[in-house]
Amino acid sequence: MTITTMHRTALLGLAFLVLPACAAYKIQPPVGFAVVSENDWQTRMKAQDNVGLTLQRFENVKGGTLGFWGADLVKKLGNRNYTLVSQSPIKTKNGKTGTRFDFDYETYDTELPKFYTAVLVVTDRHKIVLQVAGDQQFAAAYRARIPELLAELKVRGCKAGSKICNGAQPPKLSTPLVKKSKADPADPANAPDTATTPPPVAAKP
Amino acid sequence: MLRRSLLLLSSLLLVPGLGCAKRASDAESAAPSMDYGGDGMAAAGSAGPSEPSPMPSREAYDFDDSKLAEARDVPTSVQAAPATTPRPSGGKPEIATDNKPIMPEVSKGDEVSDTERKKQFARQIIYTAELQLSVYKLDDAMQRAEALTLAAGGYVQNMSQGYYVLRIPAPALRGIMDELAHLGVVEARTLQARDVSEEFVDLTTRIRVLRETQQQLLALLRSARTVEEALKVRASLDGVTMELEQAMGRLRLLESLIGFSTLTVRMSLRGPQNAVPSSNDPFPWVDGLGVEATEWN
Repeated sequence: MTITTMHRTALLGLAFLVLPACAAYKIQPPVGFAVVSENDWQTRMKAQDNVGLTLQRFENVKGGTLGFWGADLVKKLGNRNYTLVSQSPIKTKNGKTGTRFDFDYETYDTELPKFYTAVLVVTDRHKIVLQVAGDQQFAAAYRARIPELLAELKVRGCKAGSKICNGAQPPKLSTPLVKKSKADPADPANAPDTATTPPPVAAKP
Repeated sequence: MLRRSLLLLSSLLLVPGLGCAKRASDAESAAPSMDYGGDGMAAAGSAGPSEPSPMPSREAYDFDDSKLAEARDVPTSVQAAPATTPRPSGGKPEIATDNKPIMPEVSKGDEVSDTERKKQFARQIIYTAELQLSVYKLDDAMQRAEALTLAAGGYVQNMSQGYYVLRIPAPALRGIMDELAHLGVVEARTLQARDVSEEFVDLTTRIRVLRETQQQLLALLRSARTVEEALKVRASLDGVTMELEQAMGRLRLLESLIGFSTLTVRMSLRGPQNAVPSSNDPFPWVDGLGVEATEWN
């Protein structure tokens, strides 16, 4: 009887010890970011220059692989006028693989240029998305910091011998071509008037 | 003497009935030879007998006509709404207050074209609109909204953080609403039209009849021989003047509402609470992702 009670207590204690470790992800605020809000399914952080970093957890379903959800993410963001500019594999602090998607974006109607990076990691239980977004002027600085941010991220939820975790990378994805900005100088329609354009300088031999 | 007294009394008995034309048709039948002039208040102010009407002398009756003179120049209908001249923020449409004669010397009935006559009886509609936007930069959007309003010749009637009540020249309302929609994402948009043509015509006619009555009473006052006669006429004249002022005040309000539509704009910062439409998507998880959700504070 006493042994049974001890066992029960031990099991309960073990469960309490294991529970925190079952969180889908764990991240320490990277340098320059402070946590705005945090709960079981989402962590929101902000930098001084209004760049946001969020980590979000979604339930996974049977058949939900990194390839499937990566394509879903890119397609739906593409429909919202996001432009995929690069895609690359990543690895978290605890060795889980995922895919990083870098997007350019202009806010709907107001055409404010923004950058947006989503890192997708898929486990048996969850889809984990790390997002970084802000004004386009900060894109280069923060995109360069993504490996540093990932070095703070631990992802859990993989079963032993899982085919989902560390699964195959999605194929090269793309978003539909979005309408170019009116002020885009690369657009021939927006090319400056030839009368005001300085004549080309002759190439030196 | 007796004849004059009888005449005076019969006039006084007629007075209460004159200012009660409720229907345009009634008024027209009552005074078919009168001309309404070009438009609304101007018509009300300029309408008069077809024959020259003598101006009452200030000594004979100290009648404050400045308000009537002001009202003569107020635009009356949508067609006569002010041009797109910027106005200072919070200001009201300026009403010309030049010292024009109270009553026209000669009726312009012959000069009024059919087009102007039609304008007078054109539909008089008060437009009230509301626009709810979620914007990315609230302060910028508010400044832009105010600038657009001023540029269109409107003005800001009420303002607080993320909330505007704008008065926009009626012809420019739809254009301004479209421009404002570009400041963010339109969450809701309503437009209501209230037809006040009947009330407008009633008021115009009533004012014209009251002015005629006023003129007749002024003539009677001038010809009064005794103090008693003068006091009686004066009492009636005061009643008519008060009724006239009330009608003109109401007409001025109508004209303001018709000429300047009221647009209420509500703005909020765009964030994850603003849904992104996804059509019949079995996996709407991406709706909660994106710049808005990440950058929102």
